[in-house]
Amino acid sequence: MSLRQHMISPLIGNNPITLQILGICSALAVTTTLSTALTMSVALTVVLVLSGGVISLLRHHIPPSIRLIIQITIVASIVIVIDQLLQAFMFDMSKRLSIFVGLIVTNCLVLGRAEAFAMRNPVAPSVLDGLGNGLGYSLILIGVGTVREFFGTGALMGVQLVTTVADGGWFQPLGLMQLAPSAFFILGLVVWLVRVWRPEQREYPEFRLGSGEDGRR
Amino acid sequence: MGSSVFPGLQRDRAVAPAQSIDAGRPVKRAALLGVDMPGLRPRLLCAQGDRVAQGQPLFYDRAHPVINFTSPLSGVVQSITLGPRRTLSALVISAQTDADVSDSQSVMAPETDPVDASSAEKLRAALQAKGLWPGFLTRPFGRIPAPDAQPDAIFVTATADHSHAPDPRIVLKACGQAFSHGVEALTLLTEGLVHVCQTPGPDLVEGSHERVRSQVFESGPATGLAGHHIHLLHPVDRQGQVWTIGYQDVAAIGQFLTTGSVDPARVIALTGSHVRRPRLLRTVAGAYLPDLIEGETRPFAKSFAPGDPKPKSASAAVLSGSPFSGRAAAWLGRYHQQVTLIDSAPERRSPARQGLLNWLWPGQAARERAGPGPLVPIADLDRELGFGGPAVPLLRALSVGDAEAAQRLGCLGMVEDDLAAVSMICTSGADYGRMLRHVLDELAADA
Amino acid sequence: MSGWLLDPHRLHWRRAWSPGGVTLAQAIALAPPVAVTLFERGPGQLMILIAALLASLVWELAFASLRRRAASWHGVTTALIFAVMASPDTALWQVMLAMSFGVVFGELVFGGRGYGFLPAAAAALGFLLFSFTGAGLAPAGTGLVIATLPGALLLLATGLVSWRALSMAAVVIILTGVAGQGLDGIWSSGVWMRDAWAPALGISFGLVFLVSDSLSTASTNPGRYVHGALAGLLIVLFDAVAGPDIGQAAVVFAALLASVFAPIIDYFAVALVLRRRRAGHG
Repeated sequence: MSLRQHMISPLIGNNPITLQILGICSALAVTTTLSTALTMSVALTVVLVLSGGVISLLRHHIPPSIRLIIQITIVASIVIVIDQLLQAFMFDMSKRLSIFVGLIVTNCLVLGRAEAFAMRNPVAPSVLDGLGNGLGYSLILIGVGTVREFFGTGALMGVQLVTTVADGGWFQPLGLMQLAPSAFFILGLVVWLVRVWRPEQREYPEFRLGSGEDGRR
Repeated sequence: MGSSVFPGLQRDRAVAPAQSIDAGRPVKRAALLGVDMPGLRPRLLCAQGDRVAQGQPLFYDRAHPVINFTSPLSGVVQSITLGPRRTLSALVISAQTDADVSDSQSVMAPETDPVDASSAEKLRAALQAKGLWPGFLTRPFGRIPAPDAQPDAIFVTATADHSHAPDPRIVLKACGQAFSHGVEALTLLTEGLVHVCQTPGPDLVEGSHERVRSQVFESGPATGLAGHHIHLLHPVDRQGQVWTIGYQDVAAIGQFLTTGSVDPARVIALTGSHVRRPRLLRTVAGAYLPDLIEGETRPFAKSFAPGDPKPKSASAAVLSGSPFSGRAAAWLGRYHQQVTLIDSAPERRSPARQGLLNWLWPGQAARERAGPGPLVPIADLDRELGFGGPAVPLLRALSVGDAEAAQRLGCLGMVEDDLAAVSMICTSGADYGRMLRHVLDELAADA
Repeated sequence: MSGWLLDPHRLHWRRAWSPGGVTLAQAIALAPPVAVTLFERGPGQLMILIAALLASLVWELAFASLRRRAASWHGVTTALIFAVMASPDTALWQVMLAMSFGVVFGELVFGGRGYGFLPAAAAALGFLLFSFTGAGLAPAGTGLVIATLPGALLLLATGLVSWRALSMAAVVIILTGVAGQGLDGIWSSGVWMRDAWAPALGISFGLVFLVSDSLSTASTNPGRYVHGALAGLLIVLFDAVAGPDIGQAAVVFAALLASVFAPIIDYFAVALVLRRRRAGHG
């Protein structure tokens, strides 16, 4: 794969959330507003890029038996730095994201890319792979966050776009959007739409209802 | 039988057959059918145009050369059609036109010596040579057993699988001692028990061998089938094997051992709303059905007397077998006890509707193309499955071809007939018997 | 290619329930309750019914065209149940949104009625309650309770509603009511011990059409008992209305949650049956 491919394919073709189904938990939690979703996206992308680069640099020196511990240590160090930066320069945002920045360490996406890619590829592809996956993740998060914030409150990035009924307007916010399950539904719809658009991403169950003579598959 | 509120099992508009045995119209042709022995590859002993006598071996199983298949009629081999992969499709024998017409009836063969069946090996050899071996079917899988297979038990089915099938007691009364003689001989074939599953009434095998057990079951689609009996008395799994045999085949065995000749006759019930006089007939297995039912159908008239069960359509579909498990055929199946004439399904009368109308109300063809519908778990499903267990999980496993789940739920003890009643009432319209066969073939291949 | 269907003659000869027939029976059973609610609550309820029918029709046709299958009219019963339970002052666009959600995610994505495991009406009502602050369900009057009875009897007689689930749910509700108030409290509510059985009767519509509908309960007989008991328990837990009577919202969410558990209840019921079979035969 060319270097450009590493960056482009995780956007749609190999999107970490819609195809690999990784990192869903944070997609649920931080997408109530667009600003938190953006902050989380940036934080995760930075972590992915840096961890991808560092782990790739050290890949020949990490003993296989303790590689997971080493990877977590590296990722945790990066995350702690980012957390401190957020607390220092964006304190309100850090309060709203609360524990979810720290939980980037456990995000399966980060460890998944480290294990699947950074451990066996040189630095430049690993960095770009991290960047691509981060961008793919960000794409989904920003989409979900936009929908949830707009339909849940009528605002985007805190800027009120439509007047709600409570303020004397016409827009009735959808209370469901402020709850976590709405993110599940929206993600489900996104996955569905992507797989209609790109049939090669479809997964087939082991057993299906048959309609032809031997049409089990 | 059947739920009395709203549609359940078909409350038969047809009249039950009179339980008295008539001589059936002599048939001019009979056939040995490949569907009765699926997967069997024959090695032919005759060719088209050969003269054959009744009881003469026509072919044997290529996999087990000692198992012979004999002719039910004397006559000429009219045609031999092979099916896919060199299996048999049909072997048709046409009766001699100038021969004794009663050849196709049950006739007492000239007196010959009783057969020496003192040991199991001699009995097996005699049965296999004379074409009586295919009367046995194994469980699991429902196939003709291998010549040297040892069953853990044998089940004699002397119950009827449908309310319009012949009453076994009436048929056996005409057989005399042959039935009990046959049952005693069966004890040589197994070291386990021989269960004689009969309808309530005087014991058919009173005072018989110590390993013969009488079991009482009601006739009917859920309780009259061998699968139900096996499930209750001797459930099978992968390891064991039991055999089932019908009561008429046992009587034939008994008579063969006494007289040395095989009587190919078989008593079936002619039933259905298109039959003028439903009753029992004596004919041969594989009989050509249009010959048998000639003159038996009632003319379709616009008006009938009130209370007279009248057919709904002018044309009749001829089913070999009961309305639940039969097949539309021109020949009587080897294991069938009934011939049913029902209304045939209407042809697609109107031309295919176009465009939006067809999309909103698709016709029959589109429905068929779509495949089975959804399975609504109504209460009747559990009742019509004669296996006591939960029906819906089994039907779901069969619908998707999940052989492992179906086996866990006990599908190894079933054959197609056991699911016929359920298929009749399930909303999906699926043929669960066919699905079961698909799963059983997969399990047999894994064995 | 007819594939796995019965051969045409037997298919034509048999007289069995068809999925459309099942829906028709349910619609007939729903007719009295619908008539009573329209009479009691006036034209607002009629507009809600029409909006619900429209929403279900639109999505039914959309899925029929997208998935290239025949359109069916199962959405009618979903709309009828929704119209009976929704409050007459619900905004029509909210009705259509909730019905769209319920019909699409409850039924159509699985392939239509009978292929899924959720009661679509409960999903629609749940969406309504979750999403819009101030949205509520209409309380059940005596008229509705009486009107439910003939339909319930019809469905029970034909096996389309599981009496096992229904009876267990009612029993659990009554028992918890008695346990909660004590026998003295129940006795003091009147000679007929109204407080014992009135809560269950008040939610009888939801019990019959949402909880014990044969498509949303477990599909094994032992499982149906457990499903009914679970639903009864959840109804009591979710009840947020003070006093002995039970709010309608509790039935909706209990029906949804219990039907989500139905497959796993079936799994264990089958395992139990198989273990008993194996033990019985050695």
